[in-house]
Amino acid sequence: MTRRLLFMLTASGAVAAAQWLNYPAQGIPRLPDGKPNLSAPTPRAADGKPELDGIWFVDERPLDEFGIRSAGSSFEIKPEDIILTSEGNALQQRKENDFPGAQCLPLNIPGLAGAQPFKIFSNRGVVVILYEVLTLYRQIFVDGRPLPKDPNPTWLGYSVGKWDGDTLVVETSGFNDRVPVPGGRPHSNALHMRERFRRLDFGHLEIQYTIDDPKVYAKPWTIKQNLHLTPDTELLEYVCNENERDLKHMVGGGR
Amino acid sequence: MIRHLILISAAVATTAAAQWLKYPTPGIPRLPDGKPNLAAPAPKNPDGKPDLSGVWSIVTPEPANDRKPGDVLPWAEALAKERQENLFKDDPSNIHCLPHGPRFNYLPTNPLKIVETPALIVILGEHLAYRQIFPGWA
Repeated sequence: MTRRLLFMLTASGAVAAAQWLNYPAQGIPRLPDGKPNLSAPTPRAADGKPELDGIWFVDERPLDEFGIRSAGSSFEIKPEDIILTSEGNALQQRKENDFPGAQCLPLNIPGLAGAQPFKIFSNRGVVVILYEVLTLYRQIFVDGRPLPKDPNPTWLGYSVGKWDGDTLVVETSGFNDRVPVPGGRPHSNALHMRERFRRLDFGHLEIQYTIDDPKVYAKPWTIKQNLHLTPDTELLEYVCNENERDLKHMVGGGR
Repeated sequence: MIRHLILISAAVATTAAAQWLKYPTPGIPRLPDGKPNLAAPAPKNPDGKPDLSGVWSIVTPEPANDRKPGDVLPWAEALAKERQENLFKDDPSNIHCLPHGPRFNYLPTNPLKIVETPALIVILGEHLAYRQIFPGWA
């Protein structure tokens, strides 16, 4: 737990010290005082689908058990919805001290979206998400391709998406089993995650995540993040390994 | 050199073991046998500018350069030589998993993907980092 706290404190420090660029975004609706009008209607692409483009950041987060606003508190988790299988229970105990993020390895996808701002843009059959965290990116293929049947397991999995009305539904599988899912919970390589991206208006986005892993959980469970647009700014470089001094002090299973 | 070689070997091993997905790219010119026609004209964006989109691999192991004797200052030449001789131990990207800096585009073992929109060009590295380029600078 100490390792996790250290990582979170480091991340919080990075936010406090950050200096985002103040370059006004072009072509966005503004209020008379020049501020972006976040309540304007949802922008739409030529095909009528909502545009998800922009830099997004989670809404104000409650303080977590450590008294900080961390990625782990960017969504509501209902513990009563999360029922571990016997295999899941064993996995939870084995991986209790394993938090790859403390070693500058990737976080889970909701954690990447919840820790720092991220940018969405799309073109020619692919939606790209650029995360400020670790300068990582993700591709979501929206060109009609299916999920691969036997992909190489990866940290962020393989994602395909399609529109369900005004909601972009993203299916992801092919995860390795190393990154805990939200709340520090374990998962297996059978994890399948469904995301539902819904842009409520110009300045507000909702992402719903459903965790489906029958080896570990008796039934799928869902969490939700609320986010707001952060125009007139830009993502920062985030290099976790730079001046890294914590690793040698860490103890536990993940070391 | 040994550490450098180990790193390169590890990178090559990863490449060799990797299973790239075979998904035919739609809308690209192809030869009669179905292979992509890499000699077809460069595609253009609606504004008439070349479209850089795609996954690109390094062809030349050593980048072409127009350096002439004397272009690199003596201290920089000496530093490069020193780095080669000390096994690149102070190379942050090779040894410490730090960014490649100005060498971002030059990773001989890994392809790069360019995705562009009218307002943004992004280069996605296979090492999971990205670069943003904001077009329109003048």
